[in-house]
Amino acid sequence: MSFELSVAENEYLPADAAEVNAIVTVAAPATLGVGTTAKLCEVIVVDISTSMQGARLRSAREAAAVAVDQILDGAHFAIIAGNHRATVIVPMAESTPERRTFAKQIVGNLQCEGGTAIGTWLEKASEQFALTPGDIHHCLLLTDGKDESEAHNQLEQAIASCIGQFQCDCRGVGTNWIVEELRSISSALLGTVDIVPEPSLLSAEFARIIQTAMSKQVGDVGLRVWTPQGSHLQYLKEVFPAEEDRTSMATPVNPLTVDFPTGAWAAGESRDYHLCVHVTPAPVNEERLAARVSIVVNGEPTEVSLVRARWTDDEALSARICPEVAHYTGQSDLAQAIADGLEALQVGDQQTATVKLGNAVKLASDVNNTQTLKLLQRVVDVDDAPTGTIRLKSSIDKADEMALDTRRTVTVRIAVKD
Amino acid sequence: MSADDCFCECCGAPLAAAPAAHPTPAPSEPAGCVDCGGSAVDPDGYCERCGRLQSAPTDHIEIELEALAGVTDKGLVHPRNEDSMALVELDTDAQSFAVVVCDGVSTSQHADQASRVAADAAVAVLGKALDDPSIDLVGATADALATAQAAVIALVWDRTDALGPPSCTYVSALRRDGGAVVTASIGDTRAYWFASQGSARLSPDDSWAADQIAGGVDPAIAEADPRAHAITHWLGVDAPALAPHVVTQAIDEPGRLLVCSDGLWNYASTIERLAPMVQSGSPLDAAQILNHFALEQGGHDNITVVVVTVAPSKETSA
Repeated sequence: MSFELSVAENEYLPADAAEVNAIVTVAAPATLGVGTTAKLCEVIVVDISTSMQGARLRSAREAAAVAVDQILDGAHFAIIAGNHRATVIVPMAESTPERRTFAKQIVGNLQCEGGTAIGTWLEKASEQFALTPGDIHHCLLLTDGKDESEAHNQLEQAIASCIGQFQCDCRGVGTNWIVEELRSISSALLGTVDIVPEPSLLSAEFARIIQTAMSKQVGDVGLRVWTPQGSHLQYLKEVFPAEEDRTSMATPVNPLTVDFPTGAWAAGESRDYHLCVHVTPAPVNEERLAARVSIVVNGEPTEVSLVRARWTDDEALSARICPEVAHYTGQSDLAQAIADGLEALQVGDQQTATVKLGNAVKLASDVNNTQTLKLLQRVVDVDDAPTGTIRLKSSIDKADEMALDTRRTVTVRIAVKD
Repeated sequence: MSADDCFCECCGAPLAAAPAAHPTPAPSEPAGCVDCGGSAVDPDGYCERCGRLQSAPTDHIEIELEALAGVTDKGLVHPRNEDSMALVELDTDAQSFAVVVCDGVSTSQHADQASRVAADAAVAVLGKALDDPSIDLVGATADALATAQAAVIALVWDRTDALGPPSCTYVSALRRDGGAVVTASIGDTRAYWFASQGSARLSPDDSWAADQIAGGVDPAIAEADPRAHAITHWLGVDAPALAPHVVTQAIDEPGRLLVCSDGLWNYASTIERLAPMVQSGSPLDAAQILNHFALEQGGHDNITVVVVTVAPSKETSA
């Protein structure tokens, strides 16, 4: 098996230009060879704070049981009940039919009590992962509320201590949780964040998340980037399937080389990254290597792709825009316009909100991101999408606003014209 | 790259039949990166410290044999020289010689290697025909082309890369014992014959413009089209069926043969414009003058020029 790498860029720069942009596509092999089965470890964290009482708790019990059923024989799993404390209700052990039946009985009897201390939950999950060595550590975390039963910086510290220990997908049920709080976890722990507006949707969501987690076959895949002396790596963002800035996650390998974590991969999975490097311009008609990108699997670098910079006086060459770079730059602008628009809405600045969300509608239309356009249409009335002519709805459902906030960074790939 | 490799790549004639007249270019000592002074260069030719693409031994090569000489140059715009030439002369007056010029397609992967392996493989086959009268020259010309195609196809390439598989154009010229010159071409590298009476271009282009002109379009209109230079035939795994233009040029009078890539003829494609430069001085003088001319005109592509002083057969002229 080998990962594949490809680079899309316009390597031609006008004289004295320094910024080099490239979209790097990383694809896992369609089939992974025999003997590459990774050891999977799963921790499910279920919120049992008092606010879960009623339909939410009933749905959470069912969803946890459904999740347990998706865990493959031979994987390891644990379940944590979270309130102002974190209680291991099913300790980390190998998944067997008997173990899963036992776990389902336990989650079926969950009762509500107490507050919400998400940092404490994460630390407990980390302890459980430490009990058994595995190649792929994944956590599913469910809450319905705000982190309010622990010291102010406890969550931040817990996240920092969990980086590199496991990946975490976060889900918020209802509308009383804080998007930025869960996003801070999922971004740092290479996971996703989303709203589950109705408790009845939890089972399907849990099943999907655990199935995806169980499909992962290679853990600890890194993206290694060499950049020349005198250059500055401006940013490395994952841009498909969602935008996540990974720049701050760089680990130095040597003075010119860093590794970025990408987490676990399923067979056939493919992602795009936007690399932006500032290099020292070379004279016109000369060339410099702006970056050498490789994939590191289990510590072994493989598959190298080159990002080049060639300086030219020929404007026909340097003015050409790389379609992939433009496409993802547009979606980055889209995510930012939505964030700005929602922020303006929250402080009651309707004028700014209309301008920003109108621009978002135009950008979503430009890059053909129909999913995001649909989410926007639940918050604004669209008169004309291509020009971004919109009106704010007189009343906006809180769940729709939160869905737009959580999913604004979900991207689509450039339309393939065959 | 070892000194042996350098010799081999520069003269392009790993032949037992190759005469000792080949010049051995002195392998240049790496003087450090022009940009940062670093000494380590990666296999792709970039400085391992500052990333600057280093000048390569192939950036400018001159080869002078007795009656033929060649110059290849990366030009002023392209970062690499993706043209290759190979020449061999059995005697001292071009009664028996072989020349191959290939131009790597710049939108293909490893275009420099494609032209190199094609030229090397072809000249090895042509060289065997130089001193073996039992070998038919047209047959050897076809064999050389097929061998070049096989060499290009054998190159490793990446199917996921946006650039296509390794590809190059091809032109060869072969003469034995003062007989006719047999040329073969695919793509838009060219051979010309210059003489006081019967000057001629020996290789039609396989290009969009050539196809249009053949179909009746006004040459001025076809040549001005942005697609004019798009080639329609080449060597490579994705090449259309090989249909080389094979031409036999009788040598009845003294003259000069020019074999060149489009980096030259883009700036002067007619016999009238080329002739004064081709006829200047020694073959090396002429090749240098032509190369210099293309650089002066902008050097937008790699330039390769081979000039041969061709005399009629000694037996008939004696």
